[in-house]
Amino acid sequence: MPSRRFDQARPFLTLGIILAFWLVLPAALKSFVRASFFELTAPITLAASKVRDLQEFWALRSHSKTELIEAGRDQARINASYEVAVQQTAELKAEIARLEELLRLPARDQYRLEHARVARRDFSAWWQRIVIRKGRDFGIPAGAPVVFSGGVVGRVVEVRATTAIVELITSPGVRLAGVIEGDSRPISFQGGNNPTFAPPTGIVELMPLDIIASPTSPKRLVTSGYGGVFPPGLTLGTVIRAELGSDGLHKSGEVRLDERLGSLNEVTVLVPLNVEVPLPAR
Amino acid sequence: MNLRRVALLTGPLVLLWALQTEVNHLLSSRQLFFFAGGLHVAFIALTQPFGPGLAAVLVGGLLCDAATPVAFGTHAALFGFAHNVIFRMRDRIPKDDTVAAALLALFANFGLFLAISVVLSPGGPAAWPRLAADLVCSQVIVALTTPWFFSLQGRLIDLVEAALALRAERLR
Repeated sequence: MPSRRFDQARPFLTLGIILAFWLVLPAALKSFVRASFFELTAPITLAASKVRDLQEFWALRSHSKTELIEAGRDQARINASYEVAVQQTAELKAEIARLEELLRLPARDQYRLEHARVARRDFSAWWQRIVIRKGRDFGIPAGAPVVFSGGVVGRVVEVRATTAIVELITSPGVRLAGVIEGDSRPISFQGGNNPTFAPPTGIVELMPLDIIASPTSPKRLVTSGYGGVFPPGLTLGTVIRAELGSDGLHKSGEVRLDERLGSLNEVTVLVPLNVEVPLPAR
Repeated sequence: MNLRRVALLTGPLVLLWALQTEVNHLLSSRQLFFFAGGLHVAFIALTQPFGPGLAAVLVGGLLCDAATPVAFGTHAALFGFAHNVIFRMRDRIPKDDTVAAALLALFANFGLFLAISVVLSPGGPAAWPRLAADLVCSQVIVALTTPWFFSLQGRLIDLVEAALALRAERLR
């Protein structure tokens, strides 16, 4: 009888021994195994992403020439307005540089823009991450902020040889400091629960009492620049609800985030120039 | 341990992982998620010998761990435990019955989903509606794909074993 009982417990004993052995393995070895497994599957992720791009290319090829001409015309109009904006930006930058020199202020952080395609989106209630098709091969450092046309996407949490993993601001574990546009007092922003078939949401806490926000009069929430990760003024979302918090000293509320965060195809990594990672020889 | 069999069992798990990530990429715009943990363990635990089966399931778990922000080994440990539970009671489960296999995969998937939710505990009760939606989505896809995936794994093993037997005969 004891022998039969041992036979029944043997699978669990084997697993227990394997797990005990795994637990005592050095962290560096585990980290190496993890990176190896990730790199092993990276070609699958990249190949699937490139197949999707090819599929999109062939779908676009099926459009008529008239549609192409119309799209080109619209694009030319957008380009014209962007050119004006670029000239204005250059003028403002020169003005800032002149003032900084005049007042002997330290120069602001500068970034190199690295555009990257999204290879994989992975959005669950547990985590919200994307994998981009650029990594160490393009000098992307861990911790770099990632943005898109609608504002902040998140920040790079892991960098691999040809890919990087970005944790989105919609992720429940993300916390950062924001400010209401036109205000300088910092507010705590946290990624929230992302309901199914609805735009992602976040939570704001420690909001000053005089700030009033509702669905009819939302307030734009932007990055504060504190903490040194995100440059100031980037859109996080819109505060659509603000209520008195449990401590009675601050308000807490809900932030509606850009719904395009769920279908990102291209993002821009802001690579800080002062912590530039050397590019590998190609 | 038969390493060839471990590789043979791991191949379809890599394919499953790739398909799972593709489905999740497509579902992301609807804020839905597909978890296929049950499919990773059900067939192997039900039909394969203990050693190679457990090794393949652990490798499949590490594959999932590498791409997710959990402690490295979490999926592997949970998959290994689920494998052992199914392995112990597999004599009482009809192996060739598709409905029984699908039910087993669904139960395993349900258990693993709950276990990972407990381990990660995202956002407290406020996260429950989203977790429920993800679980329903996962269970529907697992129920639909179990017969195909079981058949794929079974056929692949049969094909490779037949090819190896033929080669051995020729060499003789």
